[in-house]
Amino acid sequence: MPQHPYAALLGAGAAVLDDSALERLTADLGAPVLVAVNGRVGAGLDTVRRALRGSLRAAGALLAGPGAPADVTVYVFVETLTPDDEALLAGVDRPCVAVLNKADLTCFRGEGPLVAATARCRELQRRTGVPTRPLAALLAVAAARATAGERSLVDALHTVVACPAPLAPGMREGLLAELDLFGTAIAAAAVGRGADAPAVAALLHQASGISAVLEEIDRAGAPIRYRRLIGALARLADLAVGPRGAGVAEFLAGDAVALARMAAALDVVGAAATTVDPVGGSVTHLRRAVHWRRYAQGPVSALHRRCGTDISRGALRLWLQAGGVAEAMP
Amino acid sequence: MSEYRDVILVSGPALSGATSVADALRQRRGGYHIVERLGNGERPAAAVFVVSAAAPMTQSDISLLDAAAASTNAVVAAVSKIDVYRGWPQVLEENRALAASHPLSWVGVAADPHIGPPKLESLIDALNSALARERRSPRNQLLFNKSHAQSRIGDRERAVAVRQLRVARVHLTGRARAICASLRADLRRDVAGLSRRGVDEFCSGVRRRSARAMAELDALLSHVVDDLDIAGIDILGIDSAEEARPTYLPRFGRVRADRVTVALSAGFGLGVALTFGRLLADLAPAWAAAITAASLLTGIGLSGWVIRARGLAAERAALDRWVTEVTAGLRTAMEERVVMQMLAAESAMAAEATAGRNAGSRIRPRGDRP
Repeated sequence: MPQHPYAALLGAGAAVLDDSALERLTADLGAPVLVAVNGRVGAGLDTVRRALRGSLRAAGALLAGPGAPADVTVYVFVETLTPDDEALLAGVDRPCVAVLNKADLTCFRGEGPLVAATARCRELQRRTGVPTRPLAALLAVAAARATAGERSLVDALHTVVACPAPLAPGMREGLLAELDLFGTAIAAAAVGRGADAPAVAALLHQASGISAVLEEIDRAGAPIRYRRLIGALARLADLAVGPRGAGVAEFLAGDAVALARMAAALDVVGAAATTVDPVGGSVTHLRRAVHWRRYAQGPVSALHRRCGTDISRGALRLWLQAGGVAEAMP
Repeated sequence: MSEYRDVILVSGPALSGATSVADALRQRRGGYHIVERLGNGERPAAAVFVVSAAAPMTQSDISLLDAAAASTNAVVAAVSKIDVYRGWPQVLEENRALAASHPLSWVGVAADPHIGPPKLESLIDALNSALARERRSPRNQLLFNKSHAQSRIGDRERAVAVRQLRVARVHLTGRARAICASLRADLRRDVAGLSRRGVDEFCSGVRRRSARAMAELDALLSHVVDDLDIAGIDILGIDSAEEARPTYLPRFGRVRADRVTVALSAGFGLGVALTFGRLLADLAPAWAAAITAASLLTGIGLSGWVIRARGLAAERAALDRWVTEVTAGLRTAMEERVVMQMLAAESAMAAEATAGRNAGSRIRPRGDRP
């Protein structure tokens, strides 16, 4: 399993940087992307916040407090985008992900609510150009609680499956409040088939669509992480002068930095992360370097041009590592 | 009156379920024509505004509700999809608070339920009572007719005003041309009798007179606009004297012509001097020296006079061309001014009409129902 480029970067940095510089670099690279959740009133903003709070931390992001500055906006709406929603989305000046909440109630016919919600999101994304994903925040919260080991939900589901008639009103209300109709239906069906608590949690997590939302937030945060890396490295360049700067300069020109920049840039352009291919690797890397060099020279934004250059540079380093031989120009 | 009563409008934002509600009403409310969009001149007996129970209304939904409530007083608002959204009573209450300016009856419906049987009874009850209330007090119908009649009168007035504007544009353009033509004729006549000393004064006079012509047009324009009686437009804020001023002076490019004139005039003077000098010298040989000198002087004087006369003629020709160019430029400026002014008048009229229509729909009384 190859080491994450950022870990390799910090490892290489530990050898040459003094404690304060290393600490700052670690803090810069590890700083979470701040995510603000806002949207239509009554669309379940609080539930979405609760659903995202735990999962975002695992993805290296953090929920910003209300009114606090954020890096990425999650815009929550229900059913469809109203003209008000579209105007607000058009006015957002930072990376944005639109989330169709209450996706589990979209449609109980045909192929079910999630398929219908996904299709609707695709259509809305085509119209607005903002990445749009369906989410059943209620199910995501329930999945998180079930994963955390709360038994009450699964116990209630067992009761439903065993004998629906004598279900206490309190328990019925609790189930509906926690899972709503669709969640109760699929979870009860799963329990009926003999699923245990972790399996139910996994099912609810999968049905909630939160993974796709997190992926989209991660993608929206990529340019921010890339800019942070570039900024941190630029600050290190100040240390690369003077009598003790030779080591830092060498570190900044080294493979670890080039590969970390390449990884961050690949996240930005949305390309699959590269790994060192042991068989015929060198040719692949060289081809990749040429491709991204050409990309950087094409009609792309300044950010993408820099990313293209960084990917090309990283690919050339990988090519050298894989045994490529640079020839002198005749 | 009865033909006004047979339409029920069912409207709502996208994906609110208005179509399902309309379909369900069509099946259950046979006596009425249920439409989702009003035809031209169609007046609904009642309107059903449908909004989804997924979340409380947004501002755009409220404007749609305003539009629906503008056509009739018998409006029932329905929160749809109550089979799926369990929190619909809260949404209904919030909607009621959001639309507090409309005294509506709010009901929950499930017209095309995915779970359980359709729930339309409360909507039909509310619709029936709203229709009954309307039948008891037809005042609203009168108001509606009145407002429609007013808007129709407004339309006719607007059409007349637009026509007047067009006539005024044709008239003013014609006047602008006439002003320019008479100015040009005057100026050319002056040029024909111009002395050399008067050239500078004439040039500044041209500027003055074109400014005066522009002022004349402005007076005409403001008179016409006053006649049209449209609020909110002024004579365009351009300094008309500044605009009318010719931007260049006449060009007296005659260096080459001068040389030719000098050569020809000198030849003419020399010829006259030689001819008369020899004739007179033959007649009085004793005075030959004096006669030669006198005739040479006469020749030089004649040459100077011819040069001056030729120069004046050339300057007059140049001024004549300049006057033509200046008046043509003035005419273009005037026509542009007329067109711009009429355009401003037309857009002011349109703005007034829009504002009037909005104000009309806003101030429609609807709070004093039984």
